[in-house]
This record gives sequence, C-alpha cells and structure tokens, in this order.
Amino acid sequence: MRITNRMLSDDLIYNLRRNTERLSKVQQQISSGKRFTRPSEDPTGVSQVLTLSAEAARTDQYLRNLDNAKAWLGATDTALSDLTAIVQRARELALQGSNDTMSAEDRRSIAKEVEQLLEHAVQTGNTALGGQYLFAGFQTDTAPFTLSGGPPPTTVTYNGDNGEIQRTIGPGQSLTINSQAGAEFKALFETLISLRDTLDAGNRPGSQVNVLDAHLDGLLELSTQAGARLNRVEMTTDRLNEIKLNLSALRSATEDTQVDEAAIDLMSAQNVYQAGLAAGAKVIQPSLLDYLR
Amino acid sequence: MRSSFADLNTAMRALMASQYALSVVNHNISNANTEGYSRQAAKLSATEAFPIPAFNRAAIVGQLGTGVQVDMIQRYRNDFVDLQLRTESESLSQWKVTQDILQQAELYFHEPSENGLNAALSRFWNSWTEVGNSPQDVAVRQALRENATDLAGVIKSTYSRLSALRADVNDQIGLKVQEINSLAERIAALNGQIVKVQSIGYQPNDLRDQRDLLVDQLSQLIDISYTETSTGAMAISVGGRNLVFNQEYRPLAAVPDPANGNLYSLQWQEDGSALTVMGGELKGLLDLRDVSLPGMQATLNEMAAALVAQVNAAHRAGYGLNGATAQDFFTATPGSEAATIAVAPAIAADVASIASATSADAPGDGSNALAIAAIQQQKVMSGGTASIDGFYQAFISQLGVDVSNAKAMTDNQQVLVQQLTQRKQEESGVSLDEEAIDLIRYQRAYQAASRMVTTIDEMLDQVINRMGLVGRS
Repeated sequence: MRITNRMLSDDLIYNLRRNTERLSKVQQQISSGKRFTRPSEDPTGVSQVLTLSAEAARTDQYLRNLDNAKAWLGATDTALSDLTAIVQRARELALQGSNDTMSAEDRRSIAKEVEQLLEHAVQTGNTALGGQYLFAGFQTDTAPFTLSGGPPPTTVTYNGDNGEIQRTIGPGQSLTINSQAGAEFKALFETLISLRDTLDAGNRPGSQVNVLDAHLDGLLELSTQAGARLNRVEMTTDRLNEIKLNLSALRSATEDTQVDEAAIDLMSAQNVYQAGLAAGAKVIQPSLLDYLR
Repeated sequence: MRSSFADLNTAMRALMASQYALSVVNHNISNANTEGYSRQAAKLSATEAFPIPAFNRAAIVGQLGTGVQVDMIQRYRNDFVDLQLRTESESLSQWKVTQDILQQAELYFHEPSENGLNAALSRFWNSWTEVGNSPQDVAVRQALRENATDLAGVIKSTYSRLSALRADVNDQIGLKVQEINSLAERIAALNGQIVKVQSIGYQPNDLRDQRDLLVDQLSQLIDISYTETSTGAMAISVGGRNLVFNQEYRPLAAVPDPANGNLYSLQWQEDGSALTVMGGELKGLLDLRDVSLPGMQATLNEMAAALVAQVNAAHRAGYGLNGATAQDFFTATPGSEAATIAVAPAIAADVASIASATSADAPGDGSNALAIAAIQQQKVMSGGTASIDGFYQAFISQLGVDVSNAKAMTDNQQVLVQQLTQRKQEESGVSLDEEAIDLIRYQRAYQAASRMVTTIDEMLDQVINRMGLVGRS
C-alpha cells in the first residue's frame, strides 16, 4: 500500500479527534456524576429516569397527603377523647343528681357544672386545624355548632354538612379523613342541655343516664373509626417510604456514573490518547529530506 | 552513416527531459497540501531509433537509440474511488445535518432535568392535589396558578423554538440551492476550459483537479449522477435532468410557496417544474423541515390538546370558592394548542375561581381538584394506551432513539468516507519521500547528460583541433 504524508496526518487527526471525544465523554460523566445528560446518549435510560422521577414526585405528594391526613386524624382523635371525658363526667354528675339525698339546691349547682361541660363540649365540636373545622363536613370555614337562646342557651344548630373530605394516598386510593359526627354531636349537646334543664329544675335525671351511655358508645365508634384510619395512614406511609427508597436507588443505578468504572475508562482513554499523540509526533515529523545531506 | 553530432542531440534531449521531469516534481512538492490536488508524473519514452527500416537505409550495424522524450504529464486519479467517495459523502452529509439539527431540537426539551416538561407536569399535577388538600388556602391556589402558567410557558416556548428551528432549516435550504447553482456554474466554466485544452492534445490536469473538487462538494449537497463525454466535458444530472451539460448549466430555484406557509419549494428555474431531491445535505434539510420537526410539533400539540381538553372538562364540572362553575381552566386555540395554551384569564385574575369542589357552597370540598390531579394516571392518549405523562416520556425516548440513530449513521459514514479518502490519497496523494527520490534521480540524470555533452565536446576537440597536424612545425 502506498502511504502519503497527507494520509498520515489525516489519519492522526481523525484518530485523535475520536480519542478526545471519548476522553471528553468519560470526563463529563465523572464531573457531572451522570451517565447521560441527553436522551440520545441513552434513550432507554432517559425514558426510565423520566418515569422514575415522575413517580418519585407523585410518591412525595402521597407522603405529604398522608402527613396531612395524620395531623387531621390525630386532631380528630384528641377531640373525640376530650368529648368522651366530658360525657363520662356528665354521666357521673347525672348519677350524682339521681341520688335521693340530693336537695334541689344541690342539683342546681350540679346543673351549673353541666352548663360548663356543655360549653366545653361545643368548643371541642368546633375544633379547627389550620383554620379548617374538623366536624363541619365541607363547610370547613364555618364553626359547625352554635348555641342560641337563653342564656343559658337552649338550642344547638349544626351548620355543617355530610361532606366527606378525602386524601389521595396512592394511585386510585383515597381515604376519608373527617368523621361524619354532625348529627351525633348535635344529639349529644341536646342531651346535655336537657340534663342541665332537668337538674336546674331540681328534678332527678331519669333516662338521661342511659342516653349518655348510648352517646359514649357512639363516640367510641367514631374513635375506633379514626383510629383505624390512622392505622392505615401509618401503614401506607411506611410502605411509600420504602417505595421512595427503591425509586431513588433505581434512579441512581440508571443515571448515576459508576465512579470506579468511569475512573478506569478515563485512565484507558487517557492512555490511548497519549499513546496516539506520542506515535503521531514520531510519525509525521521525519521524511527522507531529513537524511539527505 | 550517423552524424558525429547526433549524440549532442541525444544529450540535449536528456537534459530537457530531466528538467521537465524536475518541474513536475517541483509542482508536486508545491501542491503536497493543496486540497483536491492529484500527483502528476512526467511520462518518458525513448525517441525513435535510427535508422528506420528502408532500402536506402544507412549502412550501419544496427538501430541506435536517439534519446528520450516526454510523452505527457500524467495525473494519478482513480475514477472508481471518486465515484464511491461521492456516493458515501452524499449520505454522510445527509446524516450529519440530520444529527446536527435533531441534537439542537433535543436540547430544547431540557430532558432529563428539573426544567423540562416532565418535571413541570409533575409539579402541575401535584399542585392540584395540594389544592384538593387545602381548598380554602389561597397560597396553595396561587402556587397552582404559577405552576400551571409555568407548564403552559414550557410547552409554548418549546413549540416556538421548534418553529424557529424549522424556519432556520428553511433558510438553509435556500442557501444550499444558491450554493448548488454556484458550483454548477463554475463546473460548466471549467468544462469549457478543459475541452479547449484537451482539443489541442494537452492534459488539463490542474483544471481537472479543480473540477473534481467542485463535483466532490456538489455531491455532498444533492444526489447527482455524472458522466464524462469524449471531449472531456462532464455532464451532471439531478433526478434524470441535466444540471450541467458542456458549458451550460441549468440553475435551480427556491421559491416561497404561499400555500405552504411561504416555505421554499424547489424547482428548475427554466420551466418551474418540481425538483425531486433524493440525497445529500439538501435531502436531510428537506426531511427535517417537512417530516421530523413538524412531527415533533404535532406530538407536542397532541399532548397539549389532550391536557387542555381533559383539565377543562373536569374543571367545568366543579365549583370555585366564589361559586364560579362551568369555566375553562386553560385557554387555547383549537388545532394549535401547543402554541397558544395559557391559563384562562378568569383563573389568572382570581384564584378563588379554581373549581376545587364538586358541589356549590362547599368550601372544604377538594374532590374536584383531586379528580383533576387523577388525570395524571388516566390513559387518555394514543387510543387509551398512555397517560399524558407517559405519552410525553415515550416521545422523548423516541427522540433520543432518532438522534442516536442519526449519530450512529453519521459515525458509520464517517468511517467509510475516511477509508475511501485514504484510498484516494493512496492513489493521488503526494508522498514527499517519493518526490525527494525523484528529485535526486532527475538531478543525477541531468548531471550525467551534462557530462555527456562535455565528453562529446572533448571527442570533437580531438578530431577538430588535434588531428592532421603532420608537417606543422
């Protein structure tokens, strides 16, 4: 084969260009920490990264939703415990008032405590979290329970509705976070009013003790429901945290540079490049003219 | 009988031939790095011997040589390699321009990154969930408005950049047509010169080199076929019609077509008939302008249309904090959604109009916002097989495949062209070592011929000045 000077230099330029290209690519992978920065460098990898990052963003959102649900359900639980304590105290007072040794005067003073309990109970029913009333259904910007008449107040009004507030906790999965307690609470408050009125009139509370027992059952049921939901929230949170971890591990495996491999690639690319330079420098310089006299 | 002076003539021929050959070596060395230059060599042959056979021939022992002559200056060129090289460079420049422009388009999508459409879509859907979680929170609604505006902005700017790129490609098509015309004109002019030189029996080597270089350049731009006529002129045709014939050329024209958004349509200037381009850089540019880039824009548009339709349909069904209902969330001109998508003015003006609730007067109800957020998972594209996000991800993946395919093809063609260029150099390239050797060969020949003249001179001196001196004192 006939080799000319131009072929040698063209060849050298072509190969050096390819070597620098390879060198620059490995160098970029190491300095950016990413195996690719454009779809064309690894179409499948990029497609995976896009899917994974969208899924990670979605999972983060689910986790935020769950945090929010947890706060809401926790507040609901506290409110229900408070109400249960109030009803238990009212029941004690009702039993006390039923005692035959009680005078009408004594009963009137018990009525005063029941009045306090009523106000506390209504306040608890109007518990709000971040400006949203827990027991108002969708009417979260209005206090759900108002007392009117009197004083002492004689009527309870429920201003809320039966709206179920949902949180999305997974693809196609949602969870109702508010308790549908409007009617239950209203009845409870009315029972307290009637207990107060009975005692205030100096009479013995009769069936009201049984009604309070029924309310305790009702509260327990609501409490159990909130507890079960809280349980589900916690389990889902654990599961999603695990998924989040897997997603980021998978993403890292897809797009992050394997530094040890890349370092070896870099070294080999450097060697090839330097060898090319050295050989090129030797080959393109001399010609026969150097040796003629 | 031969003349005593015949050998002087022979030596003179040798001197002249060596000098001639040295000039050729000189020319080769001078043009060792000239693009398109093919090495040349002086072809020597022995002149006719003496005597020629005839009855009245000189009565000498046998034929004696009379020296050397330069027959021609030969140009080393392999036409077959030229043909192959031109075919492969045509394909190389087509793929190269495709790769360049597609890579440009790929950059406009900013994937994978936090600034791309994929991330903007995620933020948009998540904002809807946040509004669903806290429908009464004005800050959360404002965040949704910002993220929606951002999403619309990303779609619009990507689309308009693709439009600008397409316009650039169209401009380039116009420039390439001018370039083709200029090359054709220069080739036609060279044809004229070459025919003239050849008609008087000379080899127009350097003119041929120039013409071959122009044909090389032309073959990168457009698919040509060519033949050389017996007079030495090169006939070049595109799509079966002569672009260059003898000293004439027929220019091409890029005419803005009002029926096609004033994009250039390519024709023969002579009669306005359509030009069909099958290869070369021009073919690459035409495919980009008419297929690849509009395809990307159509895909973006399809996605934007689905986004607008789905979000608006769900949004119209809901109620805002202020009781607003049956309102669109996005506005867009039907048919060109990607270019016109924007958050509806009513929403932009008052975030309370964002329809988060399924029923009126339910401020705590975020279920409609959650329903809109759920569109992210719904397979509403490609005949119910892909979600909006999935459709976009598949598109980016396809774009990546297209770019990497163009890159692989370019690399392959580059290797082929490199190899063929080497083969061409093998035939036509100047080797300085060879020239140095020739330099010495012809220099020595010249020196020896000069010595011959001196020798003959001394011999004649003997005969003329020293013979027949008998009787002189």
